[in-house]
Amino acid sequence: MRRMIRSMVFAAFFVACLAGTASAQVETLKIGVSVPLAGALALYGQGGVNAIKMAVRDINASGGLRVGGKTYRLEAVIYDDRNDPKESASIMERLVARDKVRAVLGSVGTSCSIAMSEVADRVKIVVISPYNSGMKATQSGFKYYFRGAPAQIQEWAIMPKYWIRQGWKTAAFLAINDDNGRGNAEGLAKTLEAIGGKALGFEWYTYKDVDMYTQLKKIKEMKPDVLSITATTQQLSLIIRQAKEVWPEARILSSGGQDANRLLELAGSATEGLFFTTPEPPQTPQTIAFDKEYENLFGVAPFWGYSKSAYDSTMILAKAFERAGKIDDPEALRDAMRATDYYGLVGHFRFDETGNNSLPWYYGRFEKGKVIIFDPRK
Amino acid sequence: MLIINHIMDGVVIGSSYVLIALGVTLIFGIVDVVQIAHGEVYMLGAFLTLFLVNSLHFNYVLSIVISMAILAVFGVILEEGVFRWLRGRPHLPVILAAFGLSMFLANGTLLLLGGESYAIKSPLREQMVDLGFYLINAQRLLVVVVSAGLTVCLFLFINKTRLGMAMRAITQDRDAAELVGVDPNKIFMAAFAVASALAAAAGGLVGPVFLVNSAIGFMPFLKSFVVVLFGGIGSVIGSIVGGLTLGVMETLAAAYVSTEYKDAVAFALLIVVLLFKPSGLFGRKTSS
Repeated sequence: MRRMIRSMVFAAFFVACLAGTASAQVETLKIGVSVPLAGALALYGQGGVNAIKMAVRDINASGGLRVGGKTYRLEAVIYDDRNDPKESASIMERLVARDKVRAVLGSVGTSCSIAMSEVADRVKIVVISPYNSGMKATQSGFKYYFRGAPAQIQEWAIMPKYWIRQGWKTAAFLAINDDNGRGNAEGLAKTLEAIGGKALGFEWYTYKDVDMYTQLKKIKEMKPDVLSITATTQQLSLIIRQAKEVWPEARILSSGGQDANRLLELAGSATEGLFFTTPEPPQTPQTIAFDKEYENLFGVAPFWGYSKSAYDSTMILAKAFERAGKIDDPEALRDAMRATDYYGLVGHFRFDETGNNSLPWYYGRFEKGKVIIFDPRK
Repeated sequence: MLIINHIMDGVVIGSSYVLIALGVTLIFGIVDVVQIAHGEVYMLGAFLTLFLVNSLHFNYVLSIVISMAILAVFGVILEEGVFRWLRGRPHLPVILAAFGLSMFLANGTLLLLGGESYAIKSPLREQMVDLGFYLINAQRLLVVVVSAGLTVCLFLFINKTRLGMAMRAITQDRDAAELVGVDPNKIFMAAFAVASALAAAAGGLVGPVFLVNSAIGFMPFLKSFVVVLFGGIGSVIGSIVGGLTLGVMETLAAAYVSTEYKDAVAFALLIVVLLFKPSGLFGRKTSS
C-alpha cells in the first residue's frame, strides 16, 4: 500500500513538471462554441463545428496566435445547445465562468443567438454567429454580437428584384411560425410590394409539423407565380416532396441557406427545378481546395455555405485577437472586430456598429440532380 | 370539390393515427397500462425498416414484416422486463415508468444513431395514383389500405380466436377469467406483442411518407392517446372512428380556420365530446 502511494506521488510530480514546461512555452487561448448538435438543426451545427476545428488546426499549424508578443495555441470548447435558448444562455455562463473562454462562436437560430447576446453584453465577451440571418439579433442593440453569415435583410434586397426581372410578379409565402420564419416572409413580401409585385398570402407551420398538404393546397388556390418557403433543410425536403404530389407545376424558391447534398438525399427527384438561397458562392480555387480538405478530414462533404462561414468566422476572430494585442480586454477585442476588413471564403467581411455585415446571398438551382449556383444580382 | 380533397387528406392522416391508437387501446384496455413508450416502438419500427431497406436492400414489404416480428418480441420484453413488476401498483408509478421508458428509448436512439433525419426508400414513394375524384400518392394509399387490412385482422383475432376471447374475458372480469383457467400473464404478453407489431407496421408504412428520426414517436403517441380517450378505452371501433375523426377535423380546421390553430381546434372539439360522454364514444361505463 505504502509503495503504491509513493509511486503515485512520484507520478503526480512528473506530470506536474511536464505540464509546467509545456505552459512555459505556449499558452492556450480558449474559444467557446455553442451550436445545436442534436435535433432538427444538428446538420447545421455539425457542419460548422467541423470547420471550426479545421480553422483551429490551420491556425495552430502555422505557429499559433501571436497576441501582444506572446504565442498562443488556440483551443475550441464545444457544447450542444439543442436549439434551446435557455440552454444557450446557460452554456454562455458555463463557457465564461468555468472554461474561461475569451470569445464565443454560435448559434444557429435567432432566438438562441439573442439569448447568447444578452449574456455576452452582461459579462462582456465577443460572440460571432457563423449562421444566423435573423434581423432581431443585430437590431436589439447588443454591443458584443457579430454576424458571420449573410443577413435576411440582404436577401430581401436581392431576391424580390430577381423575381420581378424574371416576370414573376405575385408570390405566396409558406414559413416556419417563429421569429426567423415570420420575419423573413414578411420582409420579402414588403420589399416585393415596394417594387411593384404582390404578396397573395401567408401560411405557417411549426417544427413538429410533417404534413403540409393543407397549406400547399390553400396556396395553390391563390395561383401565385412564386411559392417562397422559409424552412430548414429537413422540413424543406418534406414540403417539396409533398408539393410534387399536390402541385407539381409550382415554382418553389426557398430561403434559409440550404444544404443541397442533404436535400437531394432526402427529397430525391422532388428537388428538380427548386431554387434555394445559400451563402455558398460560385466555385473558386479557394472553395474547391476547402471542400477537398474538409472531405479528407471528416469523410463527409461540408455543409453548404455555413461550413465556410464558420471557417471564416474563426479566422476573423483570430485576426481580431492579434490586432487587439491582448487576450483579456473584451472592449479592445470588440473594437478590433469592428475594424475587420477580411476577404473570406463566402465574401468580403466588414461589420457595422450593430455587428451586421453586407455579405451577399446566392441562388442555387437544381437541374437534373446537379446544382447551378448563380448571383441573382447579375 | 376542394372540400372532398381536404377530407380525403384527413382520412389518410387519420388512418396512421388508427394503427398506433389500436396498440395503445389494446394495452390500455387489457393490461390497464398507459403505454407512453408506444410512440417510441413506432419510431423503432421505422428505424428498423429504414435499416433493412436502405442499408441491407431488403424488399420493402418483407422489411416491414421482419420489423413487425422483431418488435413483437421487443413488446414482450417490455411487458416482462418493466410492466410486469409494476402490476397491482396505483396508476401514477406505472405512468411514470412508461414515461421514463419513452425518454430512455428516444434518447438512447439519439445517442446511438445521432439526431439526423432519414428517408426510407420505399418503391412507392414517388408514384401517384388517380382515384378519379382524388389524386393520391401511392405510399399514402398503401398506408390507408394496409391500416384497413390490419384493423380487420385484429377485429377477427379478438372476436374469433380463443386467445382473442381470452383477452376480452380478462378485460370484462379478470377474477372470473382466472377462475376458468385464463393465465393473465400470457394474455398480457400477447397484448404487448400484437400492439407493438402494429406500431412497427405503422412506423414502416408512415416512415417513407415523412422522415425518420429519434424524435418522431411522441406526437403520434399523444394523438393516438387522444383518439383512444375519444373512441373509448379498449374499443377497436372507437379507435377507428376516433382516428379518422381526428385526422379529418385537423385537416378541415387547417383548411377553413387556420393552420396555426389546427391542433387546438381539433382538440377543443374532442373535449366537447368527452364532456358529454366521459367514457368515450364506444367506451363502456366503468366503476373506477
